[in-house]
Amino acid sequence: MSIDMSQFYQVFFEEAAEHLDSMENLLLTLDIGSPDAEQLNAIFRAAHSIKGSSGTFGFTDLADVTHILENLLDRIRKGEISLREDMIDAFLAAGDVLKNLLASHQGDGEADRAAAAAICGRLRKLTEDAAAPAPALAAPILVASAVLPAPTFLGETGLDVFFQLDGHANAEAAEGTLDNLVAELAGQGEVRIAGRAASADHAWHLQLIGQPDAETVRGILEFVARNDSIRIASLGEASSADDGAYGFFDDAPVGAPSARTDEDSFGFFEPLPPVAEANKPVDAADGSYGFLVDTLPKPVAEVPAVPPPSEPAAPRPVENEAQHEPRRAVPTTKAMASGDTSIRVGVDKVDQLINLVGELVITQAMLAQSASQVDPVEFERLHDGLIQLERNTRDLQESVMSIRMLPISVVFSRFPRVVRDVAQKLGKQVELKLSGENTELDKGLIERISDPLTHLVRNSLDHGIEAPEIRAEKGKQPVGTITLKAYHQSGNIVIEVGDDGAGLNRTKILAKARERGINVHDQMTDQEVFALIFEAGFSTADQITEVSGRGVGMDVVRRNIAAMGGRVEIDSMLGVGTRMTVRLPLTLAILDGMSVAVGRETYIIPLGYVIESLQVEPGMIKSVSGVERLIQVREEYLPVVTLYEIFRVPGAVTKLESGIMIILEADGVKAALFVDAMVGQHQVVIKSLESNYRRVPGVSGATIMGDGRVALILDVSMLVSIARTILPAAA
Amino acid sequence: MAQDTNNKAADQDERGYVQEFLTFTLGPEEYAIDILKVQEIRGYEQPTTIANAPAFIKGVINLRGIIVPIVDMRIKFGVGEADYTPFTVVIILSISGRVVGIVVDGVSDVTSLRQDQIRPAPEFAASVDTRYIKGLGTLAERMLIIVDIENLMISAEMALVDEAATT
Repeated sequence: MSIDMSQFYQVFFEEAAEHLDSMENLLLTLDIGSPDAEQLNAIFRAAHSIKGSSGTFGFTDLADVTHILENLLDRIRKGEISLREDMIDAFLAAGDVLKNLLASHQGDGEADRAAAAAICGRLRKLTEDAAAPAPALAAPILVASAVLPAPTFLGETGLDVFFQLDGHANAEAAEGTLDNLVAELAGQGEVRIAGRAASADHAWHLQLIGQPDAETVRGILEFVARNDSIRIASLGEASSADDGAYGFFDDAPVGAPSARTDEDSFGFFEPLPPVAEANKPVDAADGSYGFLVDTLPKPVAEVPAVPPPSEPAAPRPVENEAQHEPRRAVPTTKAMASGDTSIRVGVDKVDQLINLVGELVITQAMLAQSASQVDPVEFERLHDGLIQLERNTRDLQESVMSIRMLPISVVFSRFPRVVRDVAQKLGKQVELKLSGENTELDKGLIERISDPLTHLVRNSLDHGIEAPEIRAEKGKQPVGTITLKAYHQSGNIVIEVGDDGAGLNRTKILAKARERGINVHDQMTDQEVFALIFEAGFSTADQITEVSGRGVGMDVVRRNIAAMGGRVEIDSMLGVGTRMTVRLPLTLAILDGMSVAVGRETYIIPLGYVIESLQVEPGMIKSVSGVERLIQVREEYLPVVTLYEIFRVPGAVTKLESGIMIILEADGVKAALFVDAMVGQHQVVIKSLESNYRRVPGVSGATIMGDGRVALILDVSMLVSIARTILPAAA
Repeated sequence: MAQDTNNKAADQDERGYVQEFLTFTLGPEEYAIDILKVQEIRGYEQPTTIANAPAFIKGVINLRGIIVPIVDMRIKFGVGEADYTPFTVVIILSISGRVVGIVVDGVSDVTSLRQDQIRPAPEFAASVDTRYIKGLGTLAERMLIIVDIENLMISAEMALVDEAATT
């Protein structure tokens, strides 16, 4: 009976997408000149995983591309081919092709077969080109030396010494040299031959027990060994590192013709046999990546295809490899740990959970309200229980909300590629600095912030950062910097997109605004002037480029961010740079609000907008053309927004002295909202009004209060803008 | 078996397709709506008013955590007195994924009507567009006004749905 594989497709798609993303990220951080072996391995692992699983699921087109990609990567990480810039480009292009194929399998768009074929050809050519000048290196590398961790005993001190003898092609001569060496070293402590080299290309492993001095030992060795091959480590360290990474056992027979594993055992705690060539996929590896295959006691002899030690192999210092081993072991373990401790759950399930917890919070509030009416002495236990319930509900709510939280690195991770591509297109040199990638925010926000942020970054690249020549003229570093920063600030998440480019030109913006017939004046604050660039169709770019400059987009950015309950601010200094700050609520589901009463109605004002509240005294109220429209608060005149008038609430307090003024600030504009009274401060669960009704001007949503009634949440930006539009009419 | 079904279908054609309706009263008039659109029936509770909404939209209520707008059909249709007694009933409708409550004077019963019992509504001037009256049902001496509740509720005239959503 065959298993229906399609049920696992979704998991495969998600996994493959993750692998592709991590591959891309690694490729972008790779240092071409001296690539980090660990990174190369991680890239290879990602490609290999995609290949393995796409093969399993029968997506042969994916497997074909990844196979060629993997081959090339494998040879790079083995040092057979040196990494070049064009390879990175090819790899990135291959990643794009894979994404396209993946999307087409998910029923999203057409697979671009031509592109797939093209990239296969390109990768193959790269493999051939690079391999041709060095045919000798292309041969499979076998590190078949008899380097085996020797038995070490607890409590022993000393040194592990690895080296390759200099200039002894023949084994007998080497033995002679070694005898002399052992005699020399005997002065430093007891000498054990832990591993014999089968040929000159292979390393010897000696152990010196006692208190040997590493420098003296090195001095002795330098007479007979190749200097670059000498490696000295504290006893047990080198071997335990090997053990940790590869599951080698300590008590292996000394000198047995065994072999070191090549790097093909990525990810497994399995003493995978020396794989003759990575190109030949190991069955176990393909099928079981990510699983802990506990075959430690597997005798080495069982492993097929152990190459005879005498087989000529390309020279390869064991030292290099051994040095990286402990480091490589780290990510592998980490990856496995995270694989074991996370599960994939549908977002709808999480949302349902959040809804239920929201209901629970409301029920708890209702109970608390009812209980507050009974005698606290008589019902002491009830009160205690309710207090406990309140605490538990709050904890539960926090934990459930945190499920939806994702680090912003999910969004940030796409920017190295965006910046690279756009900078290349524009002929600019840009360095991207990321910080605060671990700042968490709601998944819903993550999905929606990604496009506006991309736009801001592209905008900075295009309009902010100058061309290298201009930068040099201005005495700046030719390489511009774009900073992406995320952090939490008082219940908000703040994302900054900064650049050290040209900055915004106030006069130019004002001139442009006048030209477009926008009502501006010279007394406007910088903030107000810069905010003009968010107006539809506004662009001060002298030239329209492929990237931006057509003036579409910035208005969309502001609209999208506002739709999320956030706002954008711009700080800029001409010639120094620009910083766009996006402020978003932590989550879309819960809001800290202040409840106010108007007539018989209760409204919620999001706390983030509230600056202060005050009761007005007669002297503060200033009338303009006979209408009381302004209040003077300290040095400022603020427009008054009377909620009962806007919402036509009957029975509300109409005398400004009798009610409460709540000073609000939205989009950099302040206004005083006039209400009857302040009721209290709550954490409210946001409910959509639009799911069953339509959008109401001045209202951003609804919530359910402790008594089960519905209260409307005010749209503060809207109310403040009402104040702005009414004011000129009244004046 | 196949014969049977054919017979049945023929039978239905002859006598007309049978549909079930929930009937309710607005003042002296009796109305009927498709029972499949009805989610539940509950008593009236004071809703939270919505700013600048038309008079027939009483506001929104909390229906087990869902915000549901409440429409008073008596005001909308201009029938009867819009007073709220303990017997005032709200019919919660589930219409194209949306939940809406309508206030009526009382719910009568569930009635089955055959197609041949339904007469097309003549053109006449009423406070509600006759487009939304599917027909007039006859049941003994009673006349049931059959309302196309789904299209009525999503119509621009009810102002329940955003303009963008209706087009």
